[in-house]
Amino acid sequence: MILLLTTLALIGLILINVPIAIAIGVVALGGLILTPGGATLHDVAIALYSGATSFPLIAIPLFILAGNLMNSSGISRRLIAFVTALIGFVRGGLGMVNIGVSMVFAEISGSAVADVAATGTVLIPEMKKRGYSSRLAAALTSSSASLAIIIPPSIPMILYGAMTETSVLKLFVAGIIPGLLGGGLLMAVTWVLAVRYDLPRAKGFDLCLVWRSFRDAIWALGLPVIILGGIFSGLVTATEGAGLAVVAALAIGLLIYRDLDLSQLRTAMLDGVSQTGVVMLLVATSAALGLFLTQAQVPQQLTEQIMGMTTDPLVVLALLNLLLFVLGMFLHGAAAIILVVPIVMPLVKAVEIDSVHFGLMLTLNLAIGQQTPPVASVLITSCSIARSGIWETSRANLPFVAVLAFILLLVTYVPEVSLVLTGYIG
Amino acid sequence: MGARLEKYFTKVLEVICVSLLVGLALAVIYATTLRYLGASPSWYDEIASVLLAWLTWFGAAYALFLRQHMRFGGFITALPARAALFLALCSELLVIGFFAVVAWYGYDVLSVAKWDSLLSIRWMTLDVVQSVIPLTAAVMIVATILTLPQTLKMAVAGLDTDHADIEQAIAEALHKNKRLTAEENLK
Repeated sequence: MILLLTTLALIGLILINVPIAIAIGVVALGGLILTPGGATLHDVAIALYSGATSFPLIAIPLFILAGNLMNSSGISRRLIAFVTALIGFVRGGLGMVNIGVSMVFAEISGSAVADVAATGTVLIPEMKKRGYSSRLAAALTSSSASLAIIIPPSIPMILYGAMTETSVLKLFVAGIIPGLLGGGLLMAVTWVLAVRYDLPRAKGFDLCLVWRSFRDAIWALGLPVIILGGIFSGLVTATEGAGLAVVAALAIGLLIYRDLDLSQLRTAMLDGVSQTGVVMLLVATSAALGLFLTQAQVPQQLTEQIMGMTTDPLVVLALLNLLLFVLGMFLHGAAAIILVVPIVMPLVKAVEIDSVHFGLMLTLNLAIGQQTPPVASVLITSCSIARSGIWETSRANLPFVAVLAFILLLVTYVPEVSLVLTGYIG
Repeated sequence: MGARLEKYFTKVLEVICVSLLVGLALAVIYATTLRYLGASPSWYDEIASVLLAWLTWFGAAYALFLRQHMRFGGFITALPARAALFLALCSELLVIGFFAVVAWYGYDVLSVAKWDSLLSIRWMTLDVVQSVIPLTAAVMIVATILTLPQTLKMAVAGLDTDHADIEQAIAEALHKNKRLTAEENLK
């Protein structure tokens, strides 16, 4: 009953355009006032402060800053030039370039919209020029950018890791195989569509051009290798890796490519602080909501009710997928994680689902949620760039969303796909 | 007057937020370097966490001035102008009410917090550290009031902030592409 009322209150507040972070805070305040228990409004004030002091979350503003610096220093354009030279000769090659670059580049900063805008404004007009329909160009860009949510470094994974005390390193590693598999399948679907619609090759294969563009892009390509290599090898923690990313992005932008000037540096930092404020306010108010949910014993009641119906992990996984899919349609990624994790985590633990496994399921659901209106900021951004309608693009997007759904089912019911590599780290 | 005040607050918040972000980045880089030299600073975990909390709350206030917090505007924009105006006003009043409660109770707990201090910097009492909550909550009330006319205007016109953000991100990306192309041509 309390869960139903809480949900209805949240939906009502969100519908009347209260910022989601503040809606969470208002519900927490109201809930604590109306339910009997020990927590007071003074505790809310303390929770709002301490909720934002979780050490693993320090990686978030730093990765966001590094991503913004990369956005400003022409790294995406160099990656596009290199990948085009490398695989542009294949039929539908430009679509595959889009997938390859998006997977490296997208979701790197805190704003999926800014990342899609950075790559989409270069690639979508080029795809249209070469005969791709607007809706296909937008659909391809949107789905490949969303898949990148599970490819490290991923802000949603850091959020989830901090909230559930799950190793961020393990979450990053768990995303590698599903991410690469998904990227490969998206490319295969693109090739099939390219053959069906007789789409051209981007350009012929030219070894000299590959070499030239490789030399130009070597630092851009080296950046993820340095950062992720450092994190995966255990040389640096995820937070230290984020600091390293900032130093590397600065050095490359200022000293090597020299595309960064002071004004862009200022803009990158200001975008970074506002994106950090948006994500972290959600984290802070969710700590207050956690206080209320614990007092009202909502997660425990939900766990008992569902365990009363079934204890089969496969059925519970299906129910969780359904819940996450519906939430993803209406909420932005970070907000969905923050709302759902404290409520369902006791259930996840009760049926002995691995927290890394569930983390990956959660982020993949959010990737699909970014493709499903009404709240589908990545899809809407791609449509705006391509000047295509949301519904016709959604139809063109069906084969790509099917790939994302297939990866989700694979990750859900074959946990080894995501967990096999995590066994190799401590 | 309102616009000038908004600009003033935004500028001050920009300076504070950028200083906190640079401070946080420097703290992480410095501590990582020292860890490799075998002398991890004892203050690192605590101070970095405090900087993150301050960045969170000042960043949130800055984002509120820019109207960048995640919202769902699809329902209000679909309503007739008068209903949209009424609900937008209710929404903004709720935001002000929420931050008023946070500011009040956030200020009230400081009297208890002043008897405790950070573990790594003993002279820094927790009332100073936690004062960020009532301080930024008050700033966010000011932000909501100053941006209220624009919010109501957008509600009446049926405009959604999400779409405005998307259009701005695309315009910025196009501008960057144009600049980089021009620079490449010069090279």
